Amino acid sequence: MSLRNLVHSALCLAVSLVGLALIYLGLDAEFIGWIQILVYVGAVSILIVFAILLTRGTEAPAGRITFAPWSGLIIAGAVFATLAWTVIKSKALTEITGNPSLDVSFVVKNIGGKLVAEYVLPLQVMGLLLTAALIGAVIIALHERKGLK
Amino acid sequence: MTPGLNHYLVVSGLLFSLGLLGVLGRRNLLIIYMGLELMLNAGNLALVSFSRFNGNLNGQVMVFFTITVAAAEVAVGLALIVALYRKRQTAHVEDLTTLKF
Amino acid sequence: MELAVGLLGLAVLLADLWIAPASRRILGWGAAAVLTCVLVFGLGSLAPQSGMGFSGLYVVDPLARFFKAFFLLSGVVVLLMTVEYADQLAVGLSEFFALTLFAVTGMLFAASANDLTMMFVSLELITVTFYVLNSFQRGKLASIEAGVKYLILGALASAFMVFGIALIFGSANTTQFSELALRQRELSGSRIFLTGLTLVLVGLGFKIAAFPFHGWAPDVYQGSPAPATALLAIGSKAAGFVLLLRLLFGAVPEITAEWHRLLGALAVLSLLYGSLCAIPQRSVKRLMGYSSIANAGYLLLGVAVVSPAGSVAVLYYLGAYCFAVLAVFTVLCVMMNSSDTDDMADFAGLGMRSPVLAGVMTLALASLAGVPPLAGFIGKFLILRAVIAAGATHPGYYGLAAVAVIGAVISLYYYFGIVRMMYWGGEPLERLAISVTPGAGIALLLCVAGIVYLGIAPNGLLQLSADAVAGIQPAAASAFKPTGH
Repeated sequence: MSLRNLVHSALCLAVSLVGLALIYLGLDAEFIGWIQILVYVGAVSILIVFAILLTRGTEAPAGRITFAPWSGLIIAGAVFATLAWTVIKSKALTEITGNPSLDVSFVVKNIGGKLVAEYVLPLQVMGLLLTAALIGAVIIALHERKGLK
Repeated sequence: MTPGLNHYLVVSGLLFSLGLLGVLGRRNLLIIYMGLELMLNAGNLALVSFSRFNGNLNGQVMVFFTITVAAAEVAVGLALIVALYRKRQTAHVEDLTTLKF
Repeated sequence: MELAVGLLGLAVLLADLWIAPASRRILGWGAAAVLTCVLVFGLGSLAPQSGMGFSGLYVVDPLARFFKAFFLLSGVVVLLMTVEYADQLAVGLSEFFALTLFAVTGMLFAASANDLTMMFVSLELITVTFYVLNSFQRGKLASIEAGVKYLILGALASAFMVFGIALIFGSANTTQFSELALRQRELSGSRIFLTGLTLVLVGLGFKIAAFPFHGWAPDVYQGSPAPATALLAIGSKAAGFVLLLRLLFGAVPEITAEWHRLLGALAVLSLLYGSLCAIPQRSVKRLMGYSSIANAGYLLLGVAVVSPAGSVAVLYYLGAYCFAVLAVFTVLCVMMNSSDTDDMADFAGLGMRSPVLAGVMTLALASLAGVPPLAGFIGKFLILRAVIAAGATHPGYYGLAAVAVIGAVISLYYYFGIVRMMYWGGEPLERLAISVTPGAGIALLLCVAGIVYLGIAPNGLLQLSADAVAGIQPAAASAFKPTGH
């Protein structure tokens, strides 16, 4: 978060996303792990890099001094302290020792089952949301040219 | 020592705070987006690890939805940045000053 | 029964599919008509039943029905408003209708959400649609800026919400409101659960524009196209409140009862902040943004009372607020067709130029300010009564009531700033009368009827609200009253 070069930050983001994907795989969450790689590393990072390239034109690579007042640092630090304190202090967590590992081969199947049985409704809402985002992105990014004509 | 739930949660808390730091502290819109992505990912990590340690798959389903939402948000967000850039030649928050009184 | 509801959602979808390919404002009429049919028949057919579906994700009860009717009604008016506003949007009119319908669909889902996953998903549908609607006027820098600001803060709110949901899920091993309610006693000792709950509330706080998370409201209200602002002011806020009510009273009533002090403090702060900042505003839309923060304060006050009377007042207040805000924004749409700005100076002499518009605007503003015979007065009165009734157990509530009265007096001042401008603001810039199209006429008529009817005969809506609250809050009432700390 402290790098000045945008491309470097984007690459670091991609690396940490890959790292997260590995953690997911280590947590027996195969489905999510691969989705993470496909969606985040494959699509989101690329999108960000594109956006950087599209907007870079006038900007000096070593942008201006970037850290705003310390307030941001203080707030984020406080949030982290609270979260870490909560996690470490809470007894309930240490009692959860972890179930014997789920049978990995069934996980993906079960997720699929859940998606079309219990969670149909959210799934449909997601479909709507993606449609809306698609329409929106197209309108926002492309109409410019029509307007210029 | 194998990592326990606590360790995963601390990592996810750290990610969340780093993302928040990026959102609050930086002034470039793209970096702010990256910070937001990091925060969403922290939530996902917490969900996955809870899901694993509670033996409950619902958490992973939730992660699936979150990832979808994040992708949609990024798409719209980057479209907005590009549109803004075409208009103003900037991607910095300080330059968003049209709406002040 | 779920089938009927599913059909309701599908009908909205179908309407959208049907209008998408073409691009004339007739489509707006069509969509509004279809939505009205959905309102009448959909609600009529599922009126008596209630229950849960989709393995508990989805619930139909009086509360859900109340809000579904509410959202459909505002959807209809906003569509009519958009028809009026069409010239300002230039391109993509049909997409605007479609996105409005998507947002309304999201709100309908939110009204029935009984699960954190469902809540998150429907809120995101609303939010993502609004990112686009807010920045729809591509030619205007202000509109894009509004979109960017809303996106950053909205995404921040979702991130908080995801993390909060993760923590709640982790400590409770469930995301369903009704299951949370069964286990709240053991959960209230879990620090992880409380942290998660706080984070989720932060996320909802953004949606309703309550005090510490209000930063986006004025900017976004000012920059967005007027119909989008209207839908944002009503739909987004009401969706936030229905989820807040469900979460606080449906899932964790005991914890809520302990947190009433915090809620009360937030309510007072939003009330004062919104009222005070609204005074010097020149842009009517921006003023509405601040006034929406103040109104969020009133509504939160009703929540903070933690009693059924308070919740009934919240629902009633939302109903009154809805009609008044819709009326204000419809007038704005008509006005902006001729002048393109929403500066207060443009309202100078409106009383002479177009007595009807000025009359409607005065009526709506008077209702917002809480002048006696109108709907807004009853809403404010109910909230105050609930607060004072709660004062019997906690003297602190009297203080809240006092602040609410002060806020009402301040709001009287700034709302009547606009009224003064309309009638005694000097000569109008142009003498031309403003013509009102049939669409806007119907919308205005609907709003005026709502404002006056709710003010004169409040019993109907009051009964509905009471029914709606009875579904979720008898437990809260009994859990709260005996303890009375």
